[in-house]
Amino acid sequence: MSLLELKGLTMRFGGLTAVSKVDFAVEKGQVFSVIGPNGAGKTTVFNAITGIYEPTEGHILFEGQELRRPVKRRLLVAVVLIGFLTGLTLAVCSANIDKLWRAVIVLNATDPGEPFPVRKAWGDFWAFLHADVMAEREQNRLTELEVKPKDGKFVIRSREKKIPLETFDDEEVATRRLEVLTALISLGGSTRTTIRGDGKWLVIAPPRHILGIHDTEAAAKQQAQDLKDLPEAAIEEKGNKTLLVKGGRTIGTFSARFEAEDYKSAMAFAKDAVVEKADGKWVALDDGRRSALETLETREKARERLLQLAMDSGKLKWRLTTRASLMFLGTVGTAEQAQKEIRIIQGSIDHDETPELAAVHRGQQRERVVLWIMLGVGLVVGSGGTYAVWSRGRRTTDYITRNGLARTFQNIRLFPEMLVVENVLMGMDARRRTPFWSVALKTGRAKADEQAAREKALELLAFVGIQDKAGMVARNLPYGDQRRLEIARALATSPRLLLLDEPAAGMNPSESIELMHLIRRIRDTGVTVLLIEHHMKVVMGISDRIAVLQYGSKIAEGTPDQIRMDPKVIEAYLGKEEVT
Amino acid sequence: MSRQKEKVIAIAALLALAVFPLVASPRIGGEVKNILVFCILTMGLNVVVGYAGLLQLGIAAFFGIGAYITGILTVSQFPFQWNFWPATLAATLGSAVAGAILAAPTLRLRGDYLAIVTLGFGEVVKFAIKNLENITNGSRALNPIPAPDNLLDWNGNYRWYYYLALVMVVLVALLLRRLEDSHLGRAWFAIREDELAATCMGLNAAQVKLSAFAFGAALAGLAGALYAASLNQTGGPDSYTFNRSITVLCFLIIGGMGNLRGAIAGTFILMGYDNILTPWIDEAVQNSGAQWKFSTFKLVIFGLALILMMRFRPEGFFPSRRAEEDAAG
Repeated sequence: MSLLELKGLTMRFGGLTAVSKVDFAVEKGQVFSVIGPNGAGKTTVFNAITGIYEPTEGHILFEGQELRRPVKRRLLVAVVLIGFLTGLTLAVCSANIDKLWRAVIVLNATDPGEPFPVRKAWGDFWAFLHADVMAEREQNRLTELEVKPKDGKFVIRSREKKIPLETFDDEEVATRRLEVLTALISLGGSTRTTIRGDGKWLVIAPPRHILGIHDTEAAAKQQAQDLKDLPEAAIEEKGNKTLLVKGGRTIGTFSARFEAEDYKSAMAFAKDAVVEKADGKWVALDDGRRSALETLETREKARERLLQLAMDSGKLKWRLTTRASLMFLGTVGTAEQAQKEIRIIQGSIDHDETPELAAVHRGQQRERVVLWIMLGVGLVVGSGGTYAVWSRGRRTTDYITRNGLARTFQNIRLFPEMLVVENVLMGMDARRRTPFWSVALKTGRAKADEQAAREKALELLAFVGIQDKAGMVARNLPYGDQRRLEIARALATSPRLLLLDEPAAGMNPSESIELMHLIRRIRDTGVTVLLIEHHMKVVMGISDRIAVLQYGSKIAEGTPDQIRMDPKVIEAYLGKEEVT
Repeated sequence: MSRQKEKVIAIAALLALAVFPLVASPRIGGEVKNILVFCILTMGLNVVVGYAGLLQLGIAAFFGIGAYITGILTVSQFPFQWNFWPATLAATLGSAVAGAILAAPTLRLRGDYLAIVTLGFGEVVKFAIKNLENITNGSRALNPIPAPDNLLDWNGNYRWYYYLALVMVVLVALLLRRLEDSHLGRAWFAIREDELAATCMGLNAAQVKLSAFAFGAALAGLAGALYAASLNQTGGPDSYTFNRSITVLCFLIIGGMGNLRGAIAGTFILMGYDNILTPWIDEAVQNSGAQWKFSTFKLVIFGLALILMMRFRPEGFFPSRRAEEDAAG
């Protein structure tokens, strides 16, 4: 099996045929030269072999096979994954990210310390993509509460909607209760203000209005006793202070007499206050005044109570909207009503009852269809596009180089701003597998790897004879050394076949001879050499086999001696002999 | 400049910066803290523009992405409420992913065309931040971003953020220095120098460009996270405009492309001029009783300096080691 085999290689650029049906085979261990007049298509052949051009026709076999990236399972997985991601992105974008975020995150946001309802949010995510109807809370700060006498009793109700909340016999108690409820409602149905009452003692006056929170039972009982004694307490003045005294015990200290009187009458309702242990209960606190308002058994109940009060007073409403477009459908008072409305709307999908519902229904259907179309389009375009791009890059220079085929260029292409030794290191870098983290942490492995590579680079520089110039910037090298450096760099990729494109161009005779020796030494290390060259001395001196190109076609192939005698070759180089 | 000498200068500069907040006024110290944060951003841009030679005009977009990822993950209005550190990590990785997603389809573009794409991406991000009101709070910005921990008085004393930024700058610089000397960094240089030759060395140009883009974006994201944390808020969409991208590119051009010294020095020179020197001169002028303000001329002077720079020292104040060696040899 030949190392490199060209079978009917044809290269066309537009209407121009640069190379036409060229066949030749390079055997292992040979120095094979391609010669021909300028414009014969030699470099084009090189470019086709190294993957810079894709052959128009024909095959290039290296070690019996075409060098193309193989289709692996990993590739197929990647293609499908990219397609799926594209589809998902398109679908999510068609559903409007901003509103999706609102439906899933913002509306489910809880207060600090509360667990986020992940399950519900996830459900909302899918419901959003299905363009369902949803209910969201909406705040309305206009509503206040009032106490209204009715049939000899006093009713607390919302001023705007006249929703009755609680009823009392005593006006003073009702007024006090109103304050408590107003405070509760001002908390906006928030659970931020509930605290756990573990180990605390509460002083509670009817109707369950908390007057104090204490750490010990004794302190709580003391306050309850004070409140019980309050109606009979006497007002005494002592110095510039006014005291409320009962049986030699001071209940309160005030700075003016009227304050003491006010306190006495204001707290009169609380003479029946009792002491309760708040263990495991939740106390709703007024954030502003830090006074306790109500106790409930669980946090959920406390939260529900706050929410319910806000709802009843009209401070909070439920807003019905379609998710996908947040199209407004209406408001209702309670969560139950909202859920009921949603059930009605979703249950009526088959029979359009009202024009509004029909519109919602149509909107939902449209959203759903768009979603699936986007997902499908994304999947097809994403995976198809990925595969198309990949397959166009199956036969690329880097892949071919990594498989053992290195080249130099006719017009030298070094990395001009890099050091000479770095230029050679570049040839090895593509094979190195030291991972990023290892380099970042400068582990022993990374250091050893770099050290070994540098040593090998210096060896290669010594091999081509420029080891003393390793620390120079590449573009400052003399021309001949740049050629050598390019060869060293190509050798650094550890090739099995080395393609040299006119290595002797611009060299003087003594340099050419050195180059010949170098090429021999390269061949002796086991690297096959494919050469383009104009210097006949070099070509005839080192080639095992020569192919001659003219106008893109091969006109001859053979050993140097055969080529020297071939009339076609002589004609191509010297012109046809006129027969007179 | 030899490696040894460079090391000495770097350590001296580091010591000076470490002592600086102990003697400086809080205002100037705060400005230097900002400069340090922008140093990271400039170093990120340097990876893309300086190392890999890909003209990137939308670095501010990744800066913004980093800031907003940090904001979204930490502020109390959203349920995530992460700590600053994991949020910073997420911002860094998130920006890198955004960079990779932008780069993957545009790798085939060269030079000007890539620049146009990155410029467009910058605008897209700016308007996305402005319009995704539920996610980013629109022009009101996300705030407050909580302090990294409760042990230190982060908000009362700028010095903690200063030292945090300084440590990050040192870590990033160290990382980049190591990459420069490794096969990973060399691959970027090779792509910049000669893409065809680099692929003939077996390098996958697409992968290398992608890694440069993602790495630059990651550093920009890290800078954005620090920026947002030190501001206590993300800053509105107008903090992440094309203008900022160009400013950072100017830091790099003035300082010298393709090397760390240039990136850091350029940031210090230009931001120092803009935020420290100009107010100081203004104050001096006002104290002398004159009626004009220096700051009205600052952009004129900056423009002139840029023109003169391009005329007489196009490689920047601190050109890369290579260019310098070349000038010497």
